[in-house]
Amino acid sequence: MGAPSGLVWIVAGVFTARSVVGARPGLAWGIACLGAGLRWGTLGLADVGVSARLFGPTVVAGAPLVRAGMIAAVVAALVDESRREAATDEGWAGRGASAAAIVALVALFFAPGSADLIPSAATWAIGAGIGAGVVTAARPATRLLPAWLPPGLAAVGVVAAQVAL
Amino acid sequence: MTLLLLGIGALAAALGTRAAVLLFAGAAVLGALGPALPAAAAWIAATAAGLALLPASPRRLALPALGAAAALGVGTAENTAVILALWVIATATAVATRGPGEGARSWAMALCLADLPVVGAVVWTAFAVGFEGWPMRLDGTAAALVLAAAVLRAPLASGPDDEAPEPGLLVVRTQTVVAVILALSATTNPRSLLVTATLLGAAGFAAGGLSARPATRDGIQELSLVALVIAAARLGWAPAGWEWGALAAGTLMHNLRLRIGQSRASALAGALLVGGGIGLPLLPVVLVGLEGATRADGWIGAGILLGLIGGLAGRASSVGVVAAATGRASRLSVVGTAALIAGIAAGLWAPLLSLQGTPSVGAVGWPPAWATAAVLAVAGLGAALGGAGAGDRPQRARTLGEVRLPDRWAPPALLRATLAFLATGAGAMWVTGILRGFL
Repeated sequence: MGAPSGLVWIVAGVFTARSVVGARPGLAWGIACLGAGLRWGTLGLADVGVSARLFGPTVVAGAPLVRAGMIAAVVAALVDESRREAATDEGWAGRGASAAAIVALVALFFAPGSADLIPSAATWAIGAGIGAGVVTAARPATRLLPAWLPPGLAAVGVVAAQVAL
Repeated sequence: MTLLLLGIGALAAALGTRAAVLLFAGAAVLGALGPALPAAAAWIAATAAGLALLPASPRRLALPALGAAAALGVGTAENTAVILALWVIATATAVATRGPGEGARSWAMALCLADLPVVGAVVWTAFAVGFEGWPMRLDGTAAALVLAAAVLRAPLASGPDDEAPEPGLLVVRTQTVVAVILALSATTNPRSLLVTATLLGAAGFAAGGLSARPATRDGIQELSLVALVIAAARLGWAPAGWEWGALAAGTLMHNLRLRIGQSRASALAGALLVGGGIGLPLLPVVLVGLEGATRADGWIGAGILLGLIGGLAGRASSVGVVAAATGRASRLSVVGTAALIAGIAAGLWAPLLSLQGTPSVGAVGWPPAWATAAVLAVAGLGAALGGAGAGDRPQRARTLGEVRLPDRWAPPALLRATLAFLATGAGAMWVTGILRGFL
């Protein structure tokens, strides 16, 4: 079913939802999500969870340059999400995609990793609520940034992390 | 036998009969079972069959089908003396069927110029390696030249314009696939060439996603993935044989694109086709490329990832542009919307299934009944609410224009002279082969 490569399906699902409502897909977010998988050498959500249990969440695990790269990637993704038009302008499908995007960032970068769905979902929900608040609060400032900055920063972060691994 | 059936199919097409469809389909089946370039032979012949089913007269397929057969011959012939002749015949059929207009002429001129690396590779191989060196003994220089020819041709594989897709889809696409396979399959390939090919494939996928013309976008992305998966397999980063998947997906996409607007299902087909995610036929191949990225060294893996994700985002960004420009991606029906939402919801749910299992090993179970019901409920609710049809909010996305030669660089006399130069070179190689006792 492709579930072992679930990160690709998460990204593809969000891109599809956004494309059919005519919204920007969120390149920096996509780079960050797959970059987190690349940092752990996997495209599986469960594999990232196991790695987080063993070594700590993605943003705090590894050598300093790896951590810096992953932090840059997730910050770029959050800025990119923040720069979007108000979620209400993207319809229910766009809102759903944005929610999934924030949850994915929490699960991939900040969650400690759990084998069970219920505790994981609770952690993700709390984290996503905080993330949504941060994204909304930062919108006036992030909308002043150039469009190329978030994907550029995410790309630099992912490359730096890979080189430092 | 495959080439013979393609040739007979071309003859049937020239006679204007739809029986050409059966012959092309037969060529596809035989090509798949054949020993030489089976993936290319099968899916090029299948493309010809699909084109022959379109409402337009099958006569337009006659010469391009012959050109495709000649291009496939380049991959099956083992004597360097005949390679250039077959290649130039293929190019000549594409040039001859390019259609009217200055744009078509500049496309043909670019095609002829893109043959020059092939000329170099053939001459180099004949005199540095030997007339019997083709194709498995191509050295690094020749392989790099053939790969360069493929890179130059990929943007031309969509044909001169949307009114004349046949020379691009049948001839140039075949030449590009054959060139990629030959360049990356030689036993003497240096590792650096294969790594370069993976990065070129990823970069091509990203650049293709920015193309303003859907046919060019699909063609470049398909051919880029062919190069990427073949090179990644040779490097041990990905399973072998995924060029089948890339060409199958490409054939499906080209056929869908040419049929948008011709059936009730076309809105859904259009939404899936232009999107950069769930439903995109190329997505499984992208997944293989990304798996390869996780096994690649350091920045190379990151480069592959960036190219592939950039290409998906480029496609996803272009959906509104396509809808606005062509009016083809019309609103989806309720059923179409429900199907699309169900696909997206299932795609978002699928990763969670792996959480319950042992990572990396063991099968991932099917979703529980309640999860399936939840996906269907979301689809039904979304369809009832509406507002998720393709092209609801056409957007402005950044795209690249067609990369093409300026029209003034392709006067008719210069085009004829370039083609004559290529034909003379092909004839000279043939004569040299005879004089050296290889023919």
